[in-house]
Amino acid sequence: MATRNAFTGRCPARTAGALVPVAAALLLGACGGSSPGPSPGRAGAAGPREAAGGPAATTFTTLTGVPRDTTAATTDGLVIHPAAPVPVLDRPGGRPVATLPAEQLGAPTWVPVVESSGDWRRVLLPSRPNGSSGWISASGPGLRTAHTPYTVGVDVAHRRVTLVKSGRKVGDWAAAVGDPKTPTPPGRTFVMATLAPAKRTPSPIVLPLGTHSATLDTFGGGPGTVALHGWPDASVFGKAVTHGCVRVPEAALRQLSKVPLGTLVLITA
Amino acid sequence: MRTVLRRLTTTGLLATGLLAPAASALAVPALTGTAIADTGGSSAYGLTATGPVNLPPVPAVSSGSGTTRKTLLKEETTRLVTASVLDVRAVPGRASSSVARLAVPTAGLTADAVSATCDGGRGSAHLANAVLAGRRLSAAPPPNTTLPVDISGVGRAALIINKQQRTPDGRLSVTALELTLPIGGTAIRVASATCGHAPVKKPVKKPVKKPAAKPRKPVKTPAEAPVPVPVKHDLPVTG
Repeated sequence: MATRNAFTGRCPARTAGALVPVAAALLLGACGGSSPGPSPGRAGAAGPREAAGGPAATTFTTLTGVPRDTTAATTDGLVIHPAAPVPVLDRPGGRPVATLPAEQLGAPTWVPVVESSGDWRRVLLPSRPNGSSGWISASGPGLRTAHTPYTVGVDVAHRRVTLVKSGRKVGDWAAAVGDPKTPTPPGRTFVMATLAPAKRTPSPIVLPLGTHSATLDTFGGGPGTVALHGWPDASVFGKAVTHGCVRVPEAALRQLSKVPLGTLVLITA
Repeated sequence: MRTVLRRLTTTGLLATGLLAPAASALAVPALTGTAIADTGGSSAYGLTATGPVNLPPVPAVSSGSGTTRKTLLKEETTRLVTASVLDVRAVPGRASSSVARLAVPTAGLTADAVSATCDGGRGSAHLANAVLAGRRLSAAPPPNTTLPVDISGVGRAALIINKQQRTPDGRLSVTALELTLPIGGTAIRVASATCGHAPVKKPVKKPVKKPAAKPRKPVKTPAEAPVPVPVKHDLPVTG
């Protein structure tokens, strides 16, 4: 069925997590075994280590010992970009549990601040497990802070995507969400990058989020990252037919692609 | 003193009148979640209990502009939790609450002083000689420190120290202690302060000859986040 086809570009050089048997068949079809690097046996936690501390907090890694973000509230829109890798701590002044790199997928890292304590900021991280967060010091050099007026809402039950700017709804679209077996994971996450894939179909722009499918450890050779992206067949909008991603109409994609990186995405079940 | 006594009487009546389990969890959301957009609106309270024993926040203040302050000498409406000298204040962008001689006998929780401060969207909490079931608690705990505590005959309770939460309107709410008891969902919150960012005031022109006042730190407003530039990159996502 067309709507169930895996959406893949080139397979990435590295992947994380073991293959789920259900996904394996899809993956092999999608990647065709031509992937240069993925090693299904590789432990998910073994991400690249950086000088600043623990494993790099990227969409490919699984972190341990990080505080989990459990609330679904919006924030004041503060986002942070580290000019160089910075250590991520388990609590203010605590022990390092990860390193936040300066780039994610070739784009500058911007993460949302969800809590503050003195000179410490708790930020959402793009790694597994979903809801990973950690504390970074705001007093160190090279940290750029900015404000995003946007919040993206994904209402899985009603299969709609909304865009709110400065408290006012500026967009509301029917969207396709994960089917019951591969649901779009609920929780508070963020726009991690704005990618222009080599192949412009099914979507000229892909917005990977800082969250992953809870049922697919890997997908299409990638780490199961959930994304907002377009879809050429408009009949899918308003249906629960995807592998976790949120497919949106062209008009929505146009507006969402202008939303600053680090903008909160609140996914409600 | 008379006003304090009157307040105590009122609180007593309220608390006794609301002992029915159904009437719970009304007061705190009203204080911490009110939809004042982040214009620096602040609020604070000393003590509250929700659940079978319902104690509305006492004393409680809120401020949209100007300074408000309330002090209560003693709070012993319910035997569940007692305290003395509850002092709360709120000004735009700043709120504080301090409670002395706190005791929750059921949980073995005592403290000489408990305080919470929220200043310009940043919060902190301090405890003096705080003991939970014989265990001494850190004086300046990091935000959202959770301690489980087993109470014989009652069950497992949880204490959150320096609870910090962002309200939907972007303000910060700091509660020094939040104790949840396994008795009909009883929750006791001690020393809570909520504040936003103080509104930026226009600088007042001072007469030239007057000695320069202490320079005020300007309130930093972060710049607008940049519009992203799509990068050429392929990541297989979940379709």
